[in-house]
Amino acid sequence: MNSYPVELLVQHVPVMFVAGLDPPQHARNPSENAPAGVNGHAVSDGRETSAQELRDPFSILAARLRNALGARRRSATWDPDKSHRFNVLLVDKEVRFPPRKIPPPQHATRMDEPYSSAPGVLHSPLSPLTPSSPLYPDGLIAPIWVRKHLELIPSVFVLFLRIWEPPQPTSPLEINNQDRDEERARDTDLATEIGLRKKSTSERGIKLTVVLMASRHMLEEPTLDARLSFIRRQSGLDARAALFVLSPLSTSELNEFVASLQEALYESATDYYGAHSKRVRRKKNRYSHQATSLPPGSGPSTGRPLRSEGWTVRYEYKMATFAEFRMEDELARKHYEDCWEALRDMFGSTAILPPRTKRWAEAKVLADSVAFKICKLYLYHSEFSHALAHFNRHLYRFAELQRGWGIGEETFEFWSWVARQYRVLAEMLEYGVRAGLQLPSPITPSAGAQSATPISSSVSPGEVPATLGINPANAIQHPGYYYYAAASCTQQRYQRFLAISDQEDPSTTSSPALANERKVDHQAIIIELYTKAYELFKSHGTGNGRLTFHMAYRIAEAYYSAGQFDLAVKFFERIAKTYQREKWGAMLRSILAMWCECGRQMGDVELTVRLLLEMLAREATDSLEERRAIEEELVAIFQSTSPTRPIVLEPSDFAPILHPSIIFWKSEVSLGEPASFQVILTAGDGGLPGLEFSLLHIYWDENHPPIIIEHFPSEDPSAHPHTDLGQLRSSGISEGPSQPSPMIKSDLRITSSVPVDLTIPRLTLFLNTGSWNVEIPINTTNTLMSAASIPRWLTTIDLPPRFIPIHRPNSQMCRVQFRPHRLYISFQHDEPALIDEQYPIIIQITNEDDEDLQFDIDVLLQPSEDEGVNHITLGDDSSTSLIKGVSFGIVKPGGVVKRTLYLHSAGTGGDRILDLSIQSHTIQPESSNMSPNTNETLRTLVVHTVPAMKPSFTITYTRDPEPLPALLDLSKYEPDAVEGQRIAITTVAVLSSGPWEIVVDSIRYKPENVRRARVASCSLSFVEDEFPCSWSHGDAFSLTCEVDLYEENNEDFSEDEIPFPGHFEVTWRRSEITDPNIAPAKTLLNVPSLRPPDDGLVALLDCPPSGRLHHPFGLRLTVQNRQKFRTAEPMLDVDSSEAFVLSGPRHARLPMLLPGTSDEVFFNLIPLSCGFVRLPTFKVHDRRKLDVLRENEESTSTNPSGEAPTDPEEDRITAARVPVLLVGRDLRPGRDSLDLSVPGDELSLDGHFLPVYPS
Amino acid sequence: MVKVNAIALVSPLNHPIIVRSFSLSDHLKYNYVAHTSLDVIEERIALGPKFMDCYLGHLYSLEDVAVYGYVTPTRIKIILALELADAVVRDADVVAIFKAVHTAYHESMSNPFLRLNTMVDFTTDPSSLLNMQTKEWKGLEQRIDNIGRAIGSLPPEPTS
Repeated sequence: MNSYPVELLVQHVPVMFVAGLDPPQHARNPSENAPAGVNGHAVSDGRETSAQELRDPFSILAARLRNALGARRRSATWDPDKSHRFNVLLVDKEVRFPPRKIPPPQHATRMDEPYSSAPGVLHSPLSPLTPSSPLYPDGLIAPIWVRKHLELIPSVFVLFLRIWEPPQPTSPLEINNQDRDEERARDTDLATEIGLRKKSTSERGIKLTVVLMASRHMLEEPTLDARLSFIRRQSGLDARAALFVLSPLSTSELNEFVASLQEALYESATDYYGAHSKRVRRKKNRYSHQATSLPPGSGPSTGRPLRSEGWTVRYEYKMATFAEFRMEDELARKHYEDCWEALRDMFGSTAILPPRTKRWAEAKVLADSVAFKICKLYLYHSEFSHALAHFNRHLYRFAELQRGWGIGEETFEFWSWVARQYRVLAEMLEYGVRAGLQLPSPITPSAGAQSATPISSSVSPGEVPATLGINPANAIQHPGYYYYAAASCTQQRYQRFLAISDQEDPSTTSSPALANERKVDHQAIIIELYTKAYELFKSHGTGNGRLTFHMAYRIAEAYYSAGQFDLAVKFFERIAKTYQREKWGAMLRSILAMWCECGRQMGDVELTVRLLLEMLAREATDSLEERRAIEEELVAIFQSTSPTRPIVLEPSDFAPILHPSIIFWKSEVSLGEPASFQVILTAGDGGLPGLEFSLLHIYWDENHPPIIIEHFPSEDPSAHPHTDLGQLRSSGISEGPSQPSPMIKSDLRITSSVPVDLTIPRLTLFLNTGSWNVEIPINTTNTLMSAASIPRWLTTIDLPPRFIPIHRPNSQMCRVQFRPHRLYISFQHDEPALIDEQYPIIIQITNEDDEDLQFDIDVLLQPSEDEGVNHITLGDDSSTSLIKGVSFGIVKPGGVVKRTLYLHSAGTGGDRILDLSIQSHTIQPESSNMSPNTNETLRTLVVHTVPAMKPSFTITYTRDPEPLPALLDLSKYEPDAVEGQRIAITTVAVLSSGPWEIVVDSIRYKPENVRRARVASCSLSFVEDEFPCSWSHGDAFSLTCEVDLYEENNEDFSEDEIPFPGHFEVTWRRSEITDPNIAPAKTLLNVPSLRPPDDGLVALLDCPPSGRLHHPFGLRLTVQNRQKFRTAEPMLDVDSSEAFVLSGPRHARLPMLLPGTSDEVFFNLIPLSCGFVRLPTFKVHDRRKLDVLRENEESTSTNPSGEAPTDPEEDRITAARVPVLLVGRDLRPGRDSLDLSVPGDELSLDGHFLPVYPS
Repeated sequence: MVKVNAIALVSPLNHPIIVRSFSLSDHLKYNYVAHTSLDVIEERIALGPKFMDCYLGHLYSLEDVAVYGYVTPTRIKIILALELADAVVRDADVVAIFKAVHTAYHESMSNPFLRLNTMVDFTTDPSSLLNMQTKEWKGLEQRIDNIGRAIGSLPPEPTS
């Protein structure tokens, strides 16, 4: 900002002159020239007042007023405050204003002397029309004009005067006429003094306010009002706010007074500047009418007069300035904008403003400062985008113009100008931020688009829908960015300057601009600007300071260019770490190159060596030639210099010069087993042929000395690069040639006697050349190469090398473990196992190790999938799932230990899975504090299990042919009477299904009490002598059991399902097992529940099983109504048979049968023929009502033997056929629980046959 | 149409994946642009998930470039350096370029051969692949160049 006249930049506020407050000695020494007497001098000089004066209340009052008014002095560049305050200037009472208009000159004399050449037309001494003016004949606006309004002419003049006070009367009655006269004389003088001043201010339209200072006593004087009226009248003061009386007050009261004084006078000030504006506008209007008629050259001197564009600039600028004085920001900005546009138009034509003239330079400064003011006025109202839009408009427009003037981007003048613009913007923003301007916070894209709406209109109105984006050039940023821009422009300027000043051509190097430029310390400016940017970025930064680091880099770069290498190095040291950490190689390389150059320039050989090595390490995009050059430089340094101390590089800061790769062949080795590993150090592209490493230290444990590999310079560089270094124990020193080739590789084996994780945490390379001893540590655990590429194992020592990729994670580590114990585990058992048996599994462990081992075993039985619960038993422990920690004891080497595990399987067949964990421990002497070496061996045993026997069950149901008890039979009411007897005949067939022969010791019926069923007889009782008997695979055994089923009287509705009363238990064992520990197996045969079929009306034929020819036998037909609710009305028809003579009823209607009753019909038969002959057909019908019958008819219509049940007597009554069954053939299967239909007796309807033997 | 001077991709660990400048001379400058913009990106992300969108908008303008940022859901940062001109940059244009670069990145990462010779899970930090200089990874550079050609920031490929 300092590059522009401060008058053009400063914020205008109304100016107030305050006179009459000078310290006494100055008051007696009136200065003629006001500018020298104004402002702070008077205040500072006032402090020198003597102690006596300090006691004078009016001196104190004057001093306090000076302070109170001086504190309100304002002349800041950034001051958006709109309060009614003045820029207060303390002036001498006799101050004179600069001449307003002077006549045109007649002859050249002193500037301030009035003279005229063209009478009648008067111009301001600063007008371009006044030949003595600095602007004559074609200047625009000089800073001196602004200064005139800032410092020489007030808008308000405040005059402080003492009113004369008569001495205190000694008595209230005393009237001192002498005093009265003097008072009148003094007041007249005062009024005259005021009147003079009033005259000078009224000429200019300046408001004059007089403050009369009087004592408190005076304020109460009754004559005061009259005196004041007299003074006002005499001096011609205004009626309003023109005369105040002030008595000595405290500071705070004075401040209030000053504030109220300013408040009261503010309007006058506005009026004053408003009048100026009006005057200028009037002149402008008048001028614009006359412009065409003005003669081209009205002045006698050389040079052309100001053209109409220039007058427009002048008038707009003046109106803007006066509007600014009135604090009318909006209006001021508009006038400034008009002014700027007029200036731009002027610059557009080289005829109006010839480039590189004085006027042209002045106009440029004016244009820049006007642009600055426009920006500032926008910023006052936080219209950031408008402010920046105008800034950019100015920048782009004038950059274009400058190109036209031949000072385009290729000149230092251009960049100097751009840098100045940015710097002014940055400084303005910085002032603003310091004064409380809130820059918009980072915005989200959507918010940004909205806030950008007004911006775009300033750029290209109507072209782009504004809400869709922003103009990035108009986005406000904190001032650091603009300082940075200014700095980088200054760098450009410096470069352009260097380019020109290096030229030998005297025509270019002798120009005054260049001579001026030579005086500039560009480097200092650049560093200053970057440092400012750095500070601002630091204070605004919220991230990790990358922007700040970038600024630091720029500063370092500037220091570097300026040759301040030591300062540059300090910056480099800090910056490099960040870029190193975040792996930004390109930036790091450029830093290293400069840093290294700094080292060279500073003569710091060690730093240079360090950095050269570091640069070699970052091989990524360096060209091969660069690498060779670096190597050569290193070698040259090694040969020509000697260090003060050995150099140790720090591993953390530097990329390794050789990329290490550590690979162990195996991920685990046993104690004492050598672990092979390779250390592969790979240089980047092109290798490092210039450097010979003398030593390699391989650290595999911090507590052990490293493995040292020493390299002896070999005569033959093509000698074999491989050396088998053999086997190393804990540590070893081996010597052997190691070739400086792209790859140094060593094959090593480490043997450890304690369990440990072997790694190679670091390596150290030594460069011993001449007197140099450089130690390069290489951290192997965290390098770029090892992280990204697959480790490779070198397989051949021939060239080219060949590798096997090792796809194992953690291949740079090898775990040394105890050797696993040698033991042999076997299981002995005879598969398949049988259900229900105790299945022995013999576990046998052989200690094949060479020391005593103790074995413990855990057995886990996996749960089976069915509901059967299996058991395992080992020794005393028994469990359904896990037996843990069964000790097998200590076994000597070569010893064998056996245990039998019993598996008891239940449920169905299938696989039983056993997981066994055998832990082997070494026996540690008690004194040893080492933990015992424990191995765990896991085995899984799958035992196939089959059932030993498969039972099958057949159950048929038959009816008791005995007549049912009569309705009133008293025996039915006995306590244990049963009714409606049926018999279930149960057959159990047991098939031996296992592959093994088993011996069955017994089969027993185990009765259980069950309602409605009891076992009447069982065939087991006949075969008890048969046991034990042995069953082979496929053998079967059958038993039959009769179960009586009955209804219980106390039950109305019986359940359909009756559990079998008891079960059968088979006791058996495998025939070949003689182990007395094994108890015989017991298998339960559970007979399924009994489901007797439903019953209805049935006829049973009871006759002997066979007949003898011509021997009569009796036959009984029992009709039983086993229905539960329905009464039966049976009818009997007997068809005769040729084979029998039958006596008995042929057609009969039987008595009605109530439910649960029966009737009997007896016949006698004589067989007439032999053979399997057909019995007479007995047909029994149940008379039924027709509609009831219809259902039955439908159900029996499928019966081929069914006859139409017709009864000719009654149409509506028909008959249902009743099944007639032969007793003994009445066998029915059980009812399926799901099938609700009654099992049919239909099979028995065909008739019955009887074997008849000859007699 | 906006003129893109450089495109950079930065890994979630802030390591550079690629910095592709379309002018030969300014490679270093755009490295710095990409690196410094990480500060602003982190600041934007720290504003909270409420405002988080992939597209971070204009980050800052410095010298002659306007820098725009984009963060993929996998926290890959894409940075565009546009030539700073006094004109409105439409967000839709910039987002379209970002999406194209994002797609190019995905397509390059989908190359199954990238994983052939490495053990690193580079979804967290693909920058380590850069150090491998694998042939397959060059596809990204090619794709970004194609984007540059499509938007006219690079001259069309000479037809040989």
